[in-house]
Amino acid sequence: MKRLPLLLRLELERVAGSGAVIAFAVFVLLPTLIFMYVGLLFWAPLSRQAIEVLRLIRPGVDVYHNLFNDYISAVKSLTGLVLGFWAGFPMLVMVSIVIAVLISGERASGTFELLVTRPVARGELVLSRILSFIFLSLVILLVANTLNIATIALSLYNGLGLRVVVRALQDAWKYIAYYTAASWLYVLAVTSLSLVTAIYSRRTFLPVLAVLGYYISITALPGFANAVTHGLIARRIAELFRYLDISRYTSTILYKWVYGPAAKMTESGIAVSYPAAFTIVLGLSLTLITLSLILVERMDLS
Amino acid sequence: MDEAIIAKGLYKRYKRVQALRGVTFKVPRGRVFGLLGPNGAGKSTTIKILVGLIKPDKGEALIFGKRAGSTGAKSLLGYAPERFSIGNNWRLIDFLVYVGRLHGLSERLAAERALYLLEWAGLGGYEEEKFGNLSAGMKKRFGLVQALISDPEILILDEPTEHLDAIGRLEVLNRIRELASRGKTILLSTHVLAEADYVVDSFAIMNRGRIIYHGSRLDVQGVVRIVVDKPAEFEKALHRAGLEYSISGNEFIVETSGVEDEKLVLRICLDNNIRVIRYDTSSSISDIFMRIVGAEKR
Repeated sequence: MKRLPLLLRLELERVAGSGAVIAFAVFVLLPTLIFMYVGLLFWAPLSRQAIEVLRLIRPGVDVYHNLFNDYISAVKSLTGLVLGFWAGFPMLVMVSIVIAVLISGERASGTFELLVTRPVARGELVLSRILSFIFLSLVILLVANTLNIATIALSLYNGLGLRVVVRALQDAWKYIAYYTAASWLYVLAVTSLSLVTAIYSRRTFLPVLAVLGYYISITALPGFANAVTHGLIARRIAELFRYLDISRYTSTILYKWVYGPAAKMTESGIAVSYPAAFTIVLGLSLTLITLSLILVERMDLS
Repeated sequence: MDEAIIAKGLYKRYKRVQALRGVTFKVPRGRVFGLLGPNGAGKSTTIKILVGLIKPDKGEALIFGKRAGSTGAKSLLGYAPERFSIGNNWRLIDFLVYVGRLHGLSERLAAERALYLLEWAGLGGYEEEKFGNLSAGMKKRFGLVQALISDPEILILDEPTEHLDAIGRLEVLNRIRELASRGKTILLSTHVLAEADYVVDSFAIMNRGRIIYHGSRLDVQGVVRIVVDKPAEFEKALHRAGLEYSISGNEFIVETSGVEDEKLVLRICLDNNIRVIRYDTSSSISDIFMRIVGAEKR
């Protein structure tokens, strides 16, 4: 692993400008841009109206405090946008496409086979590609979530002035960190999932197909089981597949971060504690990445 | 160390096909070694073991005493595969600098060397070009360039002239000869025997996963083709001298094991007053190959 830092630097330089990563950035920033457009167009005037209405109907009320609380609620509602929907199925497919292009694409073109004849370990090559993508995804998610918060801050500034914005941001920074970290954990887990297929495949569609298969197994199969076998067996099958859903665990982690250490998210009758969720996401990711590295060291490349 | 490459008893099986069956050979330092054989003989498999792409089921391969596939061994090698290809979007200069840096060169040195090699290979001015825009011949030459970026001790070329036209073949072969004259150890595989004749010092012939002949060019310069005016007398004299021969039409093909045997053939003619109508010692690797592989098939 002596050459890993060099490889990582070279890979970051190369991958940062690659079409796959730019597509990923656009994909993640898309909801942010929509949010900015909607927020600045509608929220700013509404904030001003809200102040006027509050002053009229409840003279003497702490307008700033009320709107500050609204602001925090808005930040929390982003969870639904970023993790609830966007970091669900679309993110799953997008990450698998990027990894497919980065790894299977190199295998398909012959670049990977050529590079492993150079004085680097195979594992180093794979790890440099994975780590560079994981790092870049963190940067992209950070930018996206910061822009979300900035949008709300700008809207608030328009209505309430700098004092409220500063006060709000003092509290909001941790949400930026929460959302980013939770989304990133999701990316990490999905990356490691598609990595195993990408290592073995010279066809870029196979990792995407594998991830689609995974998604179908955690969504459609429980329903299918329920349709054909009513009762206990169907419930057991449904539970089994729900346990495979990575987004459940990342949501649990975020829920704990937002609502405190005592929080325990329950969904569809399955309770997952925060430590368990954290262990599952990180453990699964690290296990799959390690497995991929062992496989790539042992396999024949011809 | 005199041996640049040593292959000892290599075995490899792909599902139902036994690709290698105990391949053993040595390549001395500074020589051009040809790995010859028909398609499917196991040449590419052997090469892939040497460069570390695949692992043998049994046996070992050493590059200057280091296990093939190890980082130490790979740092001494330059490899151009049969179907050289990289992502179409790579700019030539970017790829060469990237590979150079993997070999520990600084960015500046790698760029300088890349430009020099591109010029050397007739690709000067194409450094900013994307790989996908190159012609087949240019891609093949670029394959040679990327193998040389680290100025390796050993160059391994798998079918270096495959898919090239006559001029392209000659250009690549001339580059290989030039590299050989600089003292590089070169191992190349080919099934085009005339090309092997043109460049190799020593060679091994492979067939069905085995080495069936291993020798140097000097060993094969002993086939004399001769047409004489008294074939019956000449045949008797050859028989008495204990030389192996065959007859093709009116031509005698006499197997010799060096210059002394060639002299002996001429002495027979002189002593028996046999007039030589045609005499040719231009025997080649092709003759050896056809004889040995032909015998295998029989």
